[in-house]
Amino acid sequence: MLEVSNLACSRGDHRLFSGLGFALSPGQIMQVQGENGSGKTSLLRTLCGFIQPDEGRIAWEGKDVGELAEAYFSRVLYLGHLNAIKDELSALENLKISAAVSGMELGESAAISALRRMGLKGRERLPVKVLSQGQRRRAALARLLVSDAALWILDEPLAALDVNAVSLIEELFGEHLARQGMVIFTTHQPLLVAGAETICLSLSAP
Amino acid sequence: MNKILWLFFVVVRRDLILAMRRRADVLTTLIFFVMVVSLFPLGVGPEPEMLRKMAPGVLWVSALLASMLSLGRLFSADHLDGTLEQMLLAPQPLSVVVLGKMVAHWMVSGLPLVLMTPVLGLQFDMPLEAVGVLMLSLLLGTPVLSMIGAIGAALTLGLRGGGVLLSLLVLPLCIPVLIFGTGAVGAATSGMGFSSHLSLLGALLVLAVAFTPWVAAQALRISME
Repeated sequence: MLEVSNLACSRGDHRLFSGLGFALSPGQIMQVQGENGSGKTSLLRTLCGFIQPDEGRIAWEGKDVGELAEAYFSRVLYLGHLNAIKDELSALENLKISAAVSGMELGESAAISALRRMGLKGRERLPVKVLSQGQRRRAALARLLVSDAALWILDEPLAALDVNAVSLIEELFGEHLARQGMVIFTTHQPLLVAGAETICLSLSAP
Repeated sequence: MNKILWLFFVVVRRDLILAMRRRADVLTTLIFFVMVVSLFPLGVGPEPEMLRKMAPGVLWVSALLASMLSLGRLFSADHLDGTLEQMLLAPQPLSVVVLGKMVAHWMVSGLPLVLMTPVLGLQFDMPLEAVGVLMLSLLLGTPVLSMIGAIGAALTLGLRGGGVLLSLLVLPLCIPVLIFGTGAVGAATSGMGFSSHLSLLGALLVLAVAFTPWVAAQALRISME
């Protein structure tokens, strides 16, 4: 359970949002909405602990995330604007290494089947730099399939994806929520998860 | 404990694989080192006595400059493609990741310089014993350069023109290493004991291993905001 109370965040002298509060329980999904520059990415990065909030408290299962630190990080999967994949490595190597960094040993066959489900069949061992933008995004999103994190924080996960991939992501969200997972995401495209109601959080540009 | 060690080896292995896929970067450092060292005999003339005397200093200063070359990429490449953010979310302390990156950086840009030293020592007509001491001092000293450099690289992450700033920050901090490193060779050639210099270098290395990963990790968190 993630609880946020009275959160305020600014970049430079510019106050992005203040007095923000919400709670997310297992099995819930939340979409952060707002115009460009309203602080969606900053909010997500604050929730990951990259940015220290000016005010307010972020609590995971009742404890402050600043104190939990690594214990909280192990429960979080973050995917930002950047794909966090290395151009020189293959999709397979990228997936195995990022799983290893997040503390999980991932077998070859599990990694390959995750990449195949993401529609990268036959391209698992190619260097990522020869893949298209959408395929790179798919390779990055394959982490969703192998992670055991409870809280997914996704910044524009649908960027560069085609229609089939979008419906696959909707399917993955549904599975994750059914496992009592939590999702926080931003998007400018319509995204519907069957069997779950999306909570909306609006950030209004000041 | 096992998980910490595991993460350490994962990071070292990852950075070594990446370095092997981008061999040009590794070779640049080594070739720069060889070129700078080779320019000195051409510039100051072929008197063996003078060359022997200046050899340790030239090799050490060149190693120092060569290690600056690759420092800028230590974190910035991972910063640009977002993999550094993922490392910040690793379920083990960030210092472990940073130490892994430092060790991989040394293996790629420090160790080759140490191995190249005997060949370059020939150009300066260095006695065999002095070459041995020089290699030992570089072996103890170059990891310290990588570690101190990592702090500078973390602090200047994402800055424009960070490369110059990085050198200005890091080079003064490397002076003790340079003094003890060249001092060891000087003492060996003049027949005095060189073990005290090497012990001091060793002490610097131990201090660096103990503190620099933590400092660089804090600097990274600040730079990533």
